[in-house]
Amino acid sequence: MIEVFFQYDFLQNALIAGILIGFIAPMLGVFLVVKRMSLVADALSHITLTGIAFHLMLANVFAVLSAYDPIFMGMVFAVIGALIIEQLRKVYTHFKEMAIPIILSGGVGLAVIFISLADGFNTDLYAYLFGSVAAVGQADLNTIIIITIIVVTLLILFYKEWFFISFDEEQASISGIRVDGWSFCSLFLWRSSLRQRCA
Amino acid sequence: MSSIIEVNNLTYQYTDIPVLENLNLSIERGSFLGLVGPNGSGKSTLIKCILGLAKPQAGTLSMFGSEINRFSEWGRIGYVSQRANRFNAGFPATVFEVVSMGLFGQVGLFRFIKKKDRNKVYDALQTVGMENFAKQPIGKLSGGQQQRVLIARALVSEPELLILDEPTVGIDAVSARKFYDLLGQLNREKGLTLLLVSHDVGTMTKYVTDVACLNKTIHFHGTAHDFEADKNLSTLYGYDVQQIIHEHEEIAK
Ligand SMILES: Nc1ncnc2c1ncn2[C@@H]1O[C@H](COP(=O)(O)OP(=O)(O)O)[C@@H](O)[C@H]1O
Ligand SMILES: [Mg+2]
Repeated sequence: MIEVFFQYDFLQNALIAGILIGFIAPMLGVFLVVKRMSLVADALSHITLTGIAFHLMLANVFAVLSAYDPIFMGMVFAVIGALIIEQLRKVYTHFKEMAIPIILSGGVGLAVIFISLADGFNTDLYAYLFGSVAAVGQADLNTIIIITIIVVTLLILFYKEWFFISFDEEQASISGIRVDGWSFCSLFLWRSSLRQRCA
Repeated sequence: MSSIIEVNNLTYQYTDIPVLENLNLSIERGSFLGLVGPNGSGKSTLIKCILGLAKPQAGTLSMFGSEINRFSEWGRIGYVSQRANRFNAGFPATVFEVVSMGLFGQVGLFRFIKKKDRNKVYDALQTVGMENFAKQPIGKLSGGQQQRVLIARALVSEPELLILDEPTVGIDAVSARKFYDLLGQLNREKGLTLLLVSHDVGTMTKYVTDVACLNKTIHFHGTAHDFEADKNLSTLYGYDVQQIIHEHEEIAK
């Protein structure tokens, strides 16, 4: 059974990708869990779909866009979504968790509108929604390796800031740590590691 | 004596009704100031303004001689917030780690905690008598013990000013007294300037050097002795007569 991993490249890729994601996702995830934001990943993956649908819709009108990978638009949407979540968390100080469902359901709603405008459900969309670990190619693997290195380096360098902010945002900001910047940065990191799931 | 905090004509409002209005206050270096006032009188709001967490609509505020917007040496100020156990009790941090957070601002970006910093953490834990709990998870301690740990965190950066917002809420009377003893000692021996908000006026006035009464604005600011002597004022601001009687009874026994 094990030896097939040495025979087939796609299995090797899947194995390495699985191990790397299994390594960094919990490292980042633990910060989200203690900040009570465990569902943020879900919200951001839905808003990524909105971005992809938006791209596909635009590509119907502007043919030039078809040349680009819609995932980039998805990432732009996810970053915007992350910014809005941070903003909403500030507005609903006592109900911070509300920010996530707002983005989640809003994102899905928008995605459905974009999909209809893009003339029905495009088969492309399935691939982005349900990626397959067995389909990880060499290019995807390279991206995953680069992202893993970036995430691990940033975590080591900024561990103490993240740790403090996750524990107590108010105290962290008094001690001179830029809480806004860090929260956003961690959401962004989460986003980039999430992207791998779609790969 | 020089003043550490100068507040001039400060007004702050969350909605259209001001919570603080034309407030003036100066805190002298080396003093131990007790801030008293009824619920909702704006004590926590004033502290938020001092810490730069709330931006006043009018007036000026200077810390250590510099305008608050230009002030950046937050390590000179320690703060223990009103709801001490606001954090998640399941948070996987040890007492040591929590106290070391107090140093993160000073250690700075891209740097790690060194041996010298570890020693500071143990010293701060020793000051509050919690050195034997360093390896314990913070969530497993009692409320009073957690409070001591948070004080150690506020002290570890060796601040010149320590601000405490109702630190003894939910702590039994004996522990509260020990706690005030500790604050008094820090004030006398280390010359730490303290700003203490407390409801427990009767006990607190035994330890502080000065008292300020707040209700939208400062109605009184003078020595603890003058505050106690002014019966109208001390009754108005919740000076707990019962407790004094109780204490006398105890002594008589
Ligand atoms: N975030 C807030 N938004 C609106 N009003 C607030 C807020 N925080 C406090 N207040 C109001 O400001 C007043 C002063 O509150 P606070 O400073 O917490 O009082 P204290 O600490 O003296 O009990 C109260 O009337 C309270 O209702
Ligand atoms: Mg208060």
